[in-house]
Amino acid sequence: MGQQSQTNIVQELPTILGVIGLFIIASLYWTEPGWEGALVIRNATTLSLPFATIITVGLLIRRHARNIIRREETTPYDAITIGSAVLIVLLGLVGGMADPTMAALYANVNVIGTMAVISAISISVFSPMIRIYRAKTPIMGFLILLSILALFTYTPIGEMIHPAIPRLGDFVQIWISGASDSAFWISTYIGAVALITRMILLKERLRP
Amino acid sequence: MSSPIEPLMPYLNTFVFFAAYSVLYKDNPMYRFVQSLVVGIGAGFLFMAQIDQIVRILVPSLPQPHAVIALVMGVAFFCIFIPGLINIYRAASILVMTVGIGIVLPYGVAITWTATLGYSQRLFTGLGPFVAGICYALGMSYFLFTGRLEKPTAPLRTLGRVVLLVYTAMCISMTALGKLNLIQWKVLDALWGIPSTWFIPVGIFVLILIDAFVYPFLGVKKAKEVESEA
Amino acid sequence: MNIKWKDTRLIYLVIFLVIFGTSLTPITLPLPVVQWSKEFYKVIDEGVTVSVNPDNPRHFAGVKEGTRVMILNSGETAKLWGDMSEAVKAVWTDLRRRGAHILLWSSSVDNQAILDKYLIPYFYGLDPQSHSDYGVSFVDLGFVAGGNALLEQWRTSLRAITPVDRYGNSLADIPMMQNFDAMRIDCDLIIGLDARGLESIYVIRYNTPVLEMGGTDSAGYLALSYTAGYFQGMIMGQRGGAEYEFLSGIPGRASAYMLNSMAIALIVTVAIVVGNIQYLMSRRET
Repeated sequence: MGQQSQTNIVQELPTILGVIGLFIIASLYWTEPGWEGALVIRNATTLSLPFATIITVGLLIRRHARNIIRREETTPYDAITIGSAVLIVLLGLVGGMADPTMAALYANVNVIGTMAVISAISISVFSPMIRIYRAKTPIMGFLILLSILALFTYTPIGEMIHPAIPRLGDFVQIWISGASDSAFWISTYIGAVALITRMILLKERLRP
Repeated sequence: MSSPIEPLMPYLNTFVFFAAYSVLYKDNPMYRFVQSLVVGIGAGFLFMAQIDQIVRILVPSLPQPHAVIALVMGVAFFCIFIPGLINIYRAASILVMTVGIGIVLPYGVAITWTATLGYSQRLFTGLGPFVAGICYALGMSYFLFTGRLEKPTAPLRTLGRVVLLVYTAMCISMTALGKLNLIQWKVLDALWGIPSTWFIPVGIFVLILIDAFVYPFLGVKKAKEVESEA
Repeated sequence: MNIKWKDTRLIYLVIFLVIFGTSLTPITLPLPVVQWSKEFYKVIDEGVTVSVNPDNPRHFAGVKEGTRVMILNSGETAKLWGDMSEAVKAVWTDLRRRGAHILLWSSSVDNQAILDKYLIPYFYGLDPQSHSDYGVSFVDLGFVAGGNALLEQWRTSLRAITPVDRYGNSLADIPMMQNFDAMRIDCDLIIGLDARGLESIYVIRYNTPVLEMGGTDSAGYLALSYTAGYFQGMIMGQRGGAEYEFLSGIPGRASAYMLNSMAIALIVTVAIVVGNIQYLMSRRET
């Protein structure tokens, strides 16, 4: 029995230490300039983040390398991924972060490509708007009207029809939508506090 | 100093953008090629940027205690690759999580308090603040009350749902409009930039039209699937 | 030729055609200035008093010669650049025109890369470090990892954890940085590029004036901070850029984006209305 409770404490040790630690770090919010030890730990964690990112990149490359070794269907694409990553690293090692070729490839391929994918995914929302926005219930009808109001407010159409339209849209966006956004995020924060409370009661565990 | 490949970049830039956009038409080899390139170059650059962080910021801060501990934590992260030392990696990860949650935790408390106070203090200062205060309370009631119909709070929760749906409807329209601007930004660049690269998106567009209506060659299998579904 | 009109791919082809068509002949269209854009400009032009923390109200007199402005390039700027470009250019031009001291931080490598490609060369040339403004009225910290943890530290001392700029120059030796270290008191104005968390770190405790810039849809998640009174103004999307150009009188091309939005919004609205009429008619028939 004694051994079992000892094992339980060992299992819960990371959570117990984590909860104590997070309250020490949280206390920095209300203290000026803060406890020296807590400040050192916080700043050390901040400075250690690049190591975690390096490992994430390593794990990503390992995944693609495994695909090549297993001769998966995606092998040519995996080879492109690894090849381009290695090329950039070589350029960086030779020319440093200021290497113009490395910067040019990153800005013209990665940044632009990511922006294109994000925009493509987001504008795909037009398809369901056109196909499934049907006033099957009064609430749905109301929401369709609001969507059209937003389209008219944030393009010149509203102003061209009547100046009251963008004013109404602006009012809905700032006072109703904004307050709704507040409620959403603050409820999320309350949920986070509830989660921490469960951790204090050892009903949730802290695991990496 | 500019790169010797710089003159090619406007063309590559335009090709990458519109090849990525072609995924809206369907998954195709052009898109997958660009996707692989984006991931690979991104991974390589991210790796180098982190090395730069360590060399530029961490190393000059040594031997200050926070820099020394950061270095030790960095080494501990690498224990993820050594099964026998995995607990060292776990300890470092828990520390990062602890600090992360510890930093953010007070934000929730501070925002909940100041926002609620702000909404209530401004409640009777005008129509807008009044509507905002009521909508805020209703929105919160959706999350805080249960959905059981027999409870007296049920109507508040229903109204809260409507308030949140207003937010959703506005967000959907604004997201769609905002992302259209991203595409137009690139189209304007292709049309009026120097050098002009408009023929690349037009070429891709023609390719898509041929694939859709004449001969399916951008991923033949997928085109047949789409046809059979239709 | 086999055209299937119910094929959703056609929607995207039409969108592409409309965007391309409207880009050929950009026309300036009438646009009302929304409230948060007006307030954004007012803060830069006239200033504001922030009293979220009632114990310590803070008065900001607008951007003047030597005003210390920190620009936090810390949200999704790289992914939203096509929807923010003209607004950021217009505001940056205005800040320079008024003689502001601008300190720039990028929270991620892509955010740094997008400004390096599309903004920094426009104002400071291909080698910003050699520009006469560098170190005097502009300093670039570059990408520094750490996010909110970094901002928490910077409120008491920037140099304690970030001793150098992006080029490795010691901040202690840079003239502009001599009175720019403890962000909670040294920073006169913060402008976030799609940045989050600023209200908790700087406004609630120190009443630092914070302005926000983002994409059109950033308003979805940033509206909280404006409606609740933390942000003193916002500029959202290319539309916000057009509004700022109008308010400040700085010439730009943001209004070119309005024709495209209008055409697509019209098509979508007509399609929704027609679809609903069809739906109602089919329901009556059954």
